[in-house]
Amino acid sequence: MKKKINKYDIGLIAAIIIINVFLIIFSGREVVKSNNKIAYIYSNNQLVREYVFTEDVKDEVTIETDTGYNILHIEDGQIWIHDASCPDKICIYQGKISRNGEMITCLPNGLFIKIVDENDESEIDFIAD
Amino acid sequence: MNKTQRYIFLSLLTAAALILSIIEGMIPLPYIAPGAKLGLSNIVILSVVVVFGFKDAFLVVVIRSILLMVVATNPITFIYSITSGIVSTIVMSIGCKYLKNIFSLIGISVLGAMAHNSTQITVAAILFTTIDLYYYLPILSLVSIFTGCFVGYTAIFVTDNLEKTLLKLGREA
Repeated sequence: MKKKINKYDIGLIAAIIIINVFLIIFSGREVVKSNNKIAYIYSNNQLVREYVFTEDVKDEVTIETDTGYNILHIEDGQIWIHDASCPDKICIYQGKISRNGEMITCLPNGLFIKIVDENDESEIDFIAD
Repeated sequence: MNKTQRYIFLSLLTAAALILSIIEGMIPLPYIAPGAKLGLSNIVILSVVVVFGFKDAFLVVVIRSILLMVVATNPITFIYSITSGIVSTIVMSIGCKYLKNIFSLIGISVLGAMAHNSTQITVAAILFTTIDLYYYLPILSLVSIFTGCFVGYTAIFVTDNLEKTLLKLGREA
């Protein structure tokens, strides 16, 4: 077994960095300003709520499952998780989302929030399904 | 080294992996992406792969995941930790067996960390039935390079010491 970092390791690391930086650049989303945003909230694969997402929607929801709870806030065209029962609070750190395609996930509680722009092409795929 | 000594070593290493997993959860880290973490217990898993081989590493991973669920987390986290643990162990074993003349432990550890992330996202995508989660894969892969280098570099020292200890034990027996 080789004990020191060698040129192949550095090559592997460089290749991974280049590929992933490219992926990040090309997967960047366009900022779409529209009022047809819809926020879908899924809990354990069930669509529990959906909001047509405008500046003046204001709400606070608690979503409970067998494993715990998440408290959502919706205000000023943004949606975020205010409090959760999970120990790592990753869903809270994901912050406020407001743009098309942005999402919040909470793995322990099976919560998944996603914002979809209804003017987007993705809706056509949805209908085709 | 006889069978009992082997099992004692493996149980000590399992305990070390479990404790590292628990401590890792207590270290506050800046938030980068969901699922980004240090993977400290991977130091132990990689060392077991190198010193003892795939079968023992597989056992250590499975027992570590079950104990972690009982001690610190919940059954859903267990699904993620056991699947990604097993896949990254398989990848690191293949790396140790066939690529050891090319990569050092650092390269193998980076490969293992990438496998770990990919599996975790795949499992999440299956559980949530959405492919959107793959959006996080590039950023997680970049993070896994840093943690992978750290884990690999540490594992070099651990395997060195472990091999010396086992050699000494073999001479005394």
